[in-house]
Amino acid sequence: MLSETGGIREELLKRFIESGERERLQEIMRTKLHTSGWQDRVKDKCQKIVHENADRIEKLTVDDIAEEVTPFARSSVPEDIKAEILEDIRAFIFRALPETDN
Amino acid sequence: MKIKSEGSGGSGPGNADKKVPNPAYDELLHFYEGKIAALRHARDALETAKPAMTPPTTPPANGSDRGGSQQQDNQRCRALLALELLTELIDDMTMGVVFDTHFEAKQGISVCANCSTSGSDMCECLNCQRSFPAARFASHMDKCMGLSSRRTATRR
Repeated sequence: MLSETGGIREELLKRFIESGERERLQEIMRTKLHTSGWQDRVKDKCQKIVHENADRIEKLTVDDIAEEVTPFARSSVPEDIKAEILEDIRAFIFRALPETDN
Repeated sequence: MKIKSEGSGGSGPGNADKKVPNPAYDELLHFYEGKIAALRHARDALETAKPAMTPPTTPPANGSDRGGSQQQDNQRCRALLALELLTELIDDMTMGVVFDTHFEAKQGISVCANCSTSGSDMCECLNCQRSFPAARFASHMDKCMGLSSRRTATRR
């Protein structure tokens, strides 16, 4: 199975999207993150980045902001929300690729 | 900090068996118990995932081990894939916020080619006398003047 990991991975990603599972989990996570205040924290951080770059704001790109805020955004997600969504994803992977004992 | 209560339900030693109802305390207790349960759940989930995510310390010694470590490799791949999908979901949400912030920032420096009004100049609404930045003026007038569909309108 390991040698086919490339093809299986692509297949799984496709199924994740096409089955609607990705969108379903995205919505669940969106609500939880909003309730936990995560979106507000990330928004604050983004605005701080904009202010810090006020002198070169015309040249400020979306990528510039994204690069600086992504580590903060990722680490700022509450652990219980991460674990919950991760479990759903692992369940999806398990359903899509049942374990084989060979 | 002692919470003083009037009447017989006091905090004296003689009333130790009588519980003073405190809804605020109960609500906080319930909330934090929920948080503790969620964290326990998260810890258990991570404990289950840990073996799959730990890299092997010794290579397989002989052929009979190959089945076991193949299984471990599979588990590790799944775990890494799950993490990757999760990170993608988080990054998607982050980008939403980034785009909004970027858009607002760029609106602030926008200038009308015709009349040189800056995007952050303030305009006063004729109807309600409130001030708005030029970029948001039109959408407010839309709702305030009532020409496009009003859902709940209060006539002044």
